[in-house]
Amino acid sequence: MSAPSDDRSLWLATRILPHEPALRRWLHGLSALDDADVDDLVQETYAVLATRASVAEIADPRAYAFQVARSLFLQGVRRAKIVSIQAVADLAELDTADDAPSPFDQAAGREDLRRLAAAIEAMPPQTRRAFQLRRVEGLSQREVAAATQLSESTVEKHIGRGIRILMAQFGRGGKAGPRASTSGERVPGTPEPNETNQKNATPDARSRDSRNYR
Amino acid sequence: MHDRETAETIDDAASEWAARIDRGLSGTEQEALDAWLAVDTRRIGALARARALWVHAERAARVESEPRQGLLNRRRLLAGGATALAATLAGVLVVPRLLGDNGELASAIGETRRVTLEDGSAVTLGPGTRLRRSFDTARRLIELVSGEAFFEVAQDARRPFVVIAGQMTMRAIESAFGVRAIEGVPLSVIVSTGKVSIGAGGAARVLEANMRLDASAPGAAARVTRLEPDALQRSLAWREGMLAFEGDTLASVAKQFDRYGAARIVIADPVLAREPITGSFAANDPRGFARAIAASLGARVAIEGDTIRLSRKPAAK
Repeated sequence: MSAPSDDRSLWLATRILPHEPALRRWLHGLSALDDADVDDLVQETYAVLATRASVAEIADPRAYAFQVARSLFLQGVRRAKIVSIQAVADLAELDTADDAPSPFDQAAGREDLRRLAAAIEAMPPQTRRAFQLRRVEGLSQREVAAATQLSESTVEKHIGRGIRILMAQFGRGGKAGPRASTSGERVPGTPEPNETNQKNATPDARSRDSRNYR
Repeated sequence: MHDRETAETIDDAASEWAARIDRGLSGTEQEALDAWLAVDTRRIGALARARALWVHAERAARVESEPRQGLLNRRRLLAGGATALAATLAGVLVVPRLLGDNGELASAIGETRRVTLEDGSAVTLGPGTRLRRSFDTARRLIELVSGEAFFEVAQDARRPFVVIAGQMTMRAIESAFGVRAIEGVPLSVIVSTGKVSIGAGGAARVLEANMRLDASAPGAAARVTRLEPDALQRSLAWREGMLAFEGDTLASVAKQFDRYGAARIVIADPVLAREPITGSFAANDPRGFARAIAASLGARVAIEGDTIRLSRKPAAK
């Protein structure tokens, strides 16, 4: 097992990350999963997406991510890893998963960029400096070290810390920081109004879609 | 299950690994990473997510560092207040500027030039035109900042060719089309071959060959007209140094001559400025144009250096 490739990381960044907040909201709505359960499921979802042989044939990455998360959730229920009495009762809820990207969520993708930028702004000064030199100016870590007169291992720590800050900021639906209300916050578990109806070619997706149009 | 590693702990380690991967792993480190990943699939997911955020961060950082760059100027888009439009464009807007900052193409006043792009498409720039291109593996994106351009799009089904001009997004489907985005003149699109899908304000429509779309004031419907083949050729004649008009107002015609820099046409009278003009003229001869127009409209032309002034003849008393 090795680290995901650059191509796959880019795909995840552009196709999946923007939908992560919606995915988390949806997971939270399922049988009152707590943060830790949701974090686990999100990590496992990324693992599946990162290790697939190819993602080229995934026409609707958002729907696919929801589908993967859903099946992981069901596996969890079966293995009683994530157990709650409600979980079984709420299985019907799964059918109301919204698979179509709503304009809200697309706008949220842009909102995510803003939030990330804000998160970078809010980093401790040295971390931010290292982060910016590396990401914005495009210096290598070694060059950043030379420019900042820090050791290479210190620069590496700052980069790692910066990434960790982003993971926290992004992951918990911005609980680590302010979350803009413009990104289409909604009551967990309720379907969003679907503007578009993108078929993902699975019977599952279709039945869910039709429910959304009830 | 009691000692199950928490997602938080995994994230801590994943962020450190992402930083190490960024500077390059030694052989031993690679082995250590593989061993670390093998223990729990969530670790793979956490690392994938860390790396995705790292990629994402580059884009966010660029957005902030170039707040005035039109392509990613969210402020301007949001100022338009058109949520639907913003949503339409969002898919485009989150595209990173992966190719760096060399994406700008420009032509000087009076210059018309044709440039072949790296994907085999060609773009002809009218005078005083500025555009930015940003091609990546998912899209071929061009922003027409100002001026006029004609695109001959090379087919690539996997990478849509998208042109943004003002409030409009054009998605080309193996086509050739011209776009005019000149200040003070309604934005227009002319399709010469193929099809172009045009989105504006949340609505989308498909323009086919020999069709022309003129945007109008915000809120009003755009006008679509079908062009006869010769009218189409005339409309695109600027590529050969000719300016052709089909009922355009004199004011907008004058603006187009301005872009060729040979002289400035000033229209001193608002009624005259609204006169419709039809015909073909050499773009580099605004004086000849002014004389011809003056003769046909019964106007007066005064030439002072580089300024050509058109005014109405005083009404006969």
